[in-house]
Amino acid sequence: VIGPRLVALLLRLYPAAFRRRFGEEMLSTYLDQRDAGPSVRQTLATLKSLLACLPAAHLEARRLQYPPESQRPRTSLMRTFATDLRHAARSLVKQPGFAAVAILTLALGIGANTAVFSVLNSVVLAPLPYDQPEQLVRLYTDYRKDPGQREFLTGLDVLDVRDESGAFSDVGILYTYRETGSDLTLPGAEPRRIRVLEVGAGYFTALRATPLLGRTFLPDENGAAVPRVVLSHRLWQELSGEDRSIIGRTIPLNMLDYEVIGVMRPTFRDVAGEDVAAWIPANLLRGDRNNRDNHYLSAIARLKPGMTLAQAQVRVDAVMARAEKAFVDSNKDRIMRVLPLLDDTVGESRASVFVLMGAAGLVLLIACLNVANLVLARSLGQTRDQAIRTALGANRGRLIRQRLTESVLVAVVGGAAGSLVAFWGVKLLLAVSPASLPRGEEVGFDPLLLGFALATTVLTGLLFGAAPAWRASRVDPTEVLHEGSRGNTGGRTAGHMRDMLVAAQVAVALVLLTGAGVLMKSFVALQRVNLGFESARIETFEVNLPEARYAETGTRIRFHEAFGRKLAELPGVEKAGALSWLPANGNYHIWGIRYRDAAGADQRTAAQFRVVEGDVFGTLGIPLLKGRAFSAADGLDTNGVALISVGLAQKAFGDRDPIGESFWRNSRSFRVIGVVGDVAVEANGTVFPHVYLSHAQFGGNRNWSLTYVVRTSGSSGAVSGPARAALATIDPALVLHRPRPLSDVVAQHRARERFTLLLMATFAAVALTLATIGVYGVLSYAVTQRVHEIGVRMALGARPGQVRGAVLRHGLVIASAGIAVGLVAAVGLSRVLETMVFGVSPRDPLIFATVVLVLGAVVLAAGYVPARRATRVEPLEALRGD
Amino acid sequence: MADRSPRSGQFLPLAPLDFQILTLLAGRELHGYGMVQAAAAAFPEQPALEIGSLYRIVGRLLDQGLIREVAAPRDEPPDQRVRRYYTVTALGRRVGQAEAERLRALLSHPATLRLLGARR
Repeated sequence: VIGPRLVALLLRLYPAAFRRRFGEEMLSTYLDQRDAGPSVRQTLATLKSLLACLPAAHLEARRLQYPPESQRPRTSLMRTFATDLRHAARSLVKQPGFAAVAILTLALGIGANTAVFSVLNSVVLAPLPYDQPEQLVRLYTDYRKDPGQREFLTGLDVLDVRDESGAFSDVGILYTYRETGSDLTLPGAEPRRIRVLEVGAGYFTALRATPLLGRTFLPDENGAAVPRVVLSHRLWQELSGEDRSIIGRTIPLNMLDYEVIGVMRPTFRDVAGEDVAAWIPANLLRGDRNNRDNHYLSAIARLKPGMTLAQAQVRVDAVMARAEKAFVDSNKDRIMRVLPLLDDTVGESRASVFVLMGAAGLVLLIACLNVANLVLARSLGQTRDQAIRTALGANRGRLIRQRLTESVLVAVVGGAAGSLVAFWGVKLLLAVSPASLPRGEEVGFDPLLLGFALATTVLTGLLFGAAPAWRASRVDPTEVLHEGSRGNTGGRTAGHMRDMLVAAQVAVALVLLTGAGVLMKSFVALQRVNLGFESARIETFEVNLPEARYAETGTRIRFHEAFGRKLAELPGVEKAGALSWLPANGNYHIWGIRYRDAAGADQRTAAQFRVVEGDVFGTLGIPLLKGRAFSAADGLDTNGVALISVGLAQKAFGDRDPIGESFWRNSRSFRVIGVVGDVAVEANGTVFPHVYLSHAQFGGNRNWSLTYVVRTSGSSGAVSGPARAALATIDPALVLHRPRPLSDVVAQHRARERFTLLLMATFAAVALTLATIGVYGVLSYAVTQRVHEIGVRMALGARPGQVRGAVLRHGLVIASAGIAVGLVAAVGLSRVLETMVFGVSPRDPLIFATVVLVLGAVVLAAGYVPARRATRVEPLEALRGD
Repeated sequence: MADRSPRSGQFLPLAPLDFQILTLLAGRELHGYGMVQAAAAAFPEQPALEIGSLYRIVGRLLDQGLIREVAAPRDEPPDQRVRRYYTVTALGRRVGQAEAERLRALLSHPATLRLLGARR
């Protein structure tokens, strides 16, 4: 009777798989044997054989499960990889929580990076879309005594440089002022205003842009009023539906017939912007409006082959030095700057794009640290498994490879999700990016981008997988297996590694938070800057009078007076006026003036000239400080009068009373009748001397395109409808162009700052969130691992406060280490923000202190939950768990 | 395409007990105790086949595809015991023959004969 029991008992010692396969059968066979002739000897022999085969059976079972490397069929690297991949996928599916958090974190990091990189790539890195773009430069007027200006060129300066410097194979002159826009009047359609550039014959040749149809301009067409036009591909489509017979036909621009001589290719992008619809010849005749005082032209140029930027600058300097000698009155201290066109196009956006790229990189770094931590925590749970494999002869390289495969798999899935994030992110970026973002229209898909995302993904996988994999491969099997059933904490080193990872996250978060803080303070300072005028409840729109029907000065003056009166009478309109260029909207019409100082000597300076009509100062809230405003008496046939800004009054006349003083523009004199407050010429508050002339008096200088400003009492936007109706009662063919609130105009110029701040703040928020999760994760895990120890302490009489304190101290140690490193890094990196901030130091101690406090508080909050949990540990429970 | 079936040569030489069981199951279907009995009858001078090693070998031969399980015959006594019947596969037959050939060659070699003669 005891025989079968002993056999069954011995069978239990066999490997489970073997027992399941043969256990019952073996017992049956023993029973059959015994039934045939029961004997103690037989039973003993059976037991002896079962016992003797036991080790061999175990060895065989293990070999089946983990065949040693040498006996395994030689598999190709791909096969191994496929196996590892399957294994990795299975283990991820088994832990969906881990996989989801890791993938989401990486998707955020990779997505943000790819999105920002796509902008960086298109805006900064990609070459301009012209042949040999590195030869293209832009020319600016600058001043030896006040360098860094990017002023418009005078016609004569640029013509001299074009003809005499010998540095350029082509110089493309263009006139971008908005008076060059045109009203396009087609039969049966509402008249509309399109952007038209006046260009020199060298413009298209300098860009090496050839037309799709017809030709571009010839040098002898750069005379006065040559009615020929080159159409953009888009305008050609809109006008004629791509009818090739359009060449030689005419289109009405500003009510004049222009002969179409060419159509540009759809790929051609104008330097001045995507919205340029057509080009007409610029008047480049010497004399006329091209003198040495009228700064109104822009120019691009192509360096001669082999000519460097520096060589070209030397030659241009020589030409300008000759002009300075010959025309001391106008050209004193004036130089011309040659800048690479790419730098000029990208300009100040470059710094912010690079800073954002860096910030996105830091977000990715934090994401990697976070996932590394997750992977590490997870790998601790697999230490025993790892140890057994090592004991059975698994090769160390193979183990590392398996771990890395898993990491890269997580990264690849994260990268795929990240590409989606990037896809939407680019759209979002472009939606919130300033309209002034150069080359924004070029941002899009690029194979380079895919490569970038891919490289980022794989690198990310290796980065966050490396530490845990390295650690896992160093597991000492005997140590781990000896530890018995007690859950192992992965040892001291792993704990330290996790603490370090979290501290690094805190450090990176601190860098991003201080960056965001500095940008925010800078933006607030920018918002608070005094521009010298009010922008609330002010609507603006432009009205341009077509030359054909408003050629006569008197007609234009009468139109603006009449329309201004009608506007002021509209319901809901408090005040109205018009001026040639809105304040805080950049430089426009910077003209040189001459005045006499206290000693009676001639002096020169430059001022922004604005032509005004109606109650501009009242509407914009610009105070009249001295003297009087324009009156109906200041007309075409009376002496020239002007209002000047208080800054100009002080600069030119010092302590003297400026009222009654005179200044000259060219040969025409103006008497100062009033002084008004300074207004900003840039949205960052930069002030420049201003001269205001009355349209009723100065309207003959040119066909001024005026922007109306209307102060309303009601809701914004309501005025453009009635205003359009009022315009139609005077002339139904006129266009009410670009109606928009003045506050939008100002905001548009701060859009880049807003954009940078918005992204930086988002990155900082993500970083803070990830760091918080990191701290929470590490402390919770530590508490779980130390339940036993905490239980013992509490059993020995530790108070909850002490236990809580210990956990929080752990958190604070991590945080302080992170904060210390982060502070050093943040101070070091603050230099990159220097050019981007306004009215604040990038090392503002208040910001740094605030960030440190915020981070400390967040870490404490993140640690509080696990700390509380620690105090709830039941001593008995914890001890019994052993 | 190359013949993917295992070649009998790769199994040689067989362990003595493996060969013994293979010969027992050649052309016969036996269960565990049946094999023990048949072994005792066929090789009375060999040590008895004990259960522990028997099933290790059965497992190995099954895994190698040299024997296979077959349906139990109809005259199986109706009790609770688990009796599975085994027989050699075509491959097992080839491998057994190959091993027998190998042993015969070995035994008929002049050196072996000299050894046997010396002993006699």
